[in-house]
Amino acid sequence: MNTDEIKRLANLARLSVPEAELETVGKDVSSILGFVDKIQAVQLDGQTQQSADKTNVFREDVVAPLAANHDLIEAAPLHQDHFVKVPKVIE
Amino acid sequence: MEYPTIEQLHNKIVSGETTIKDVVQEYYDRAQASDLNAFRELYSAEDVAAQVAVAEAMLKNGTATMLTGLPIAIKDNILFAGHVVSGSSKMLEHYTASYDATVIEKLKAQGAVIIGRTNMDEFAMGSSTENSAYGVTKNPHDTSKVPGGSSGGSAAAVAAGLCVAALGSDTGGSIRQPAAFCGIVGLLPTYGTVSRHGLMAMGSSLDVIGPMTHTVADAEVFYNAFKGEDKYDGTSVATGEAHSLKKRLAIPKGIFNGGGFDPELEKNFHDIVTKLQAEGFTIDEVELPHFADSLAVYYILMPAEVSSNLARLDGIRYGDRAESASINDVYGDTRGALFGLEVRRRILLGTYVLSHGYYDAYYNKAIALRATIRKELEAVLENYDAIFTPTTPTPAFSIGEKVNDPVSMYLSDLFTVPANIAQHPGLSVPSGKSSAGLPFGVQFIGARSGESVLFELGKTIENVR
Repeated sequence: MNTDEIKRLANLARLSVPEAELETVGKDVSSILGFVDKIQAVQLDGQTQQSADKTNVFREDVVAPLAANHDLIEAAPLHQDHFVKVPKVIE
Repeated sequence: MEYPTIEQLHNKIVSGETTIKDVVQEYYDRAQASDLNAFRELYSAEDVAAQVAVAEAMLKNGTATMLTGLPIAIKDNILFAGHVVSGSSKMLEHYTASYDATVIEKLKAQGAVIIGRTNMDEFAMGSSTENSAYGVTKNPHDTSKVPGGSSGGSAAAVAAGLCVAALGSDTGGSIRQPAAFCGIVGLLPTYGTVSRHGLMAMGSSLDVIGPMTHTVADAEVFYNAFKGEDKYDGTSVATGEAHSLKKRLAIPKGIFNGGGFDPELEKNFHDIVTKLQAEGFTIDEVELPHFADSLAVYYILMPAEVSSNLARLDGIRYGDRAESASINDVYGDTRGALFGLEVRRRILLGTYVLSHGYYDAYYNKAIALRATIRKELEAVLENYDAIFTPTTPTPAFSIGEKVNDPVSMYLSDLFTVPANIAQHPGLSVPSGKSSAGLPFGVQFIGARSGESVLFELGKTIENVR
């Protein structure tokens, strides 16, 4: 995997990868892909069920205390007057 | 060094031979004096004393359970309200949990005394604790060796007598592999029988919280204390019907043909097979054609789930944040600076297998293969109690030995991953030691909800080894 491809993935993943690391990370990801590629050769009957026992799970939406609102806001690195602070999103 | 079991300690406390305070103090003192780096944090003396007071009150008013007053450790990815929980990552170094995980609520209700949180590979990604942002944990049997991972801190803490039992989490072997490396018992419960509410998600279709203990009987008591269906986890299930023991075990055909086995470990496994046969067990080699493909399936599904689950760690909602000008740079710079190398590798890999043009070839193919692997296991387990393997191909490896070769590190999970892929339970039990004194473990993969059979099998190993 070349450095341009790693840059494209890093952008999709919102993950800054330093220039100096692009090559080694590319090599690591390629070697893991080389290892998992063997599944391409396996012939299958095409079942795709994800979970062993359950399909859809429903329950009544009941209000219950879980965590204090205040604590959840406080967990954000930047907050002010009970709001989470973020950089300007819309110009 | 032999440490007492849960039942022995419980009986001594109930009979008045010892007190809860003395038991907790003994383990707490050992944990404080230890230089294994098993704990990320030992909770304050005041914090522990307050929990001891609750346990003492339960003992007095007759509501004590087997776990009341016993010192327990928890992995650093399970939320304990009011306490820092970091996933052993720089990302959440200062994050304080705002609620209790369901398993913590259950342990509190039984009066267990939670003395600290244990070191782990960052967000449970690794097989050695070398991916912790806070340094490697040392194996108590040989401090130049890794304890295994990702629940390596929990394994080392139990093995060194720093707690009576510990919680781990297992996504591909993260309870069973370190249990084997440290010479203790580790159970991956059936997927869904333990609530994941309050566990930091890594691979949501694979993650299970489970017990790490000195003995199989301890694992049974501890597991029963925190299992159960939970309305806060939609994938959770009630424990199914108990199975009965057939005394029949299946070894996947050809597992010893691939090489890579430690010769002493391989001999230990064959010796155990002979001993079990002498106990009346039928042990057959059976065809499981896709068993060995589980690891490749795992390294597609798990990174895919990791890349989704870790998207919420973006510098906005939790933990720390890079001071960049645009919102995209805040995301990218925070994640780039605060995630370790293995976490970044897996996010990129997961992003790749889920990206346009590759999704069918990797993710969908892996999902289909997963269903095939599960069907194969289920067919074998109709006629056998469990699939029987060594837990790992080698005993604990040296610190630094595999850090630069991710694929060779992944291979230590070869026998543990299939149970997660099929969402079946797996139990690792110590089976002996190498001439250098390093523990070996054997593993049973059982039918879904077949924990009671696994415990019986595990106790048999404890008797014959």
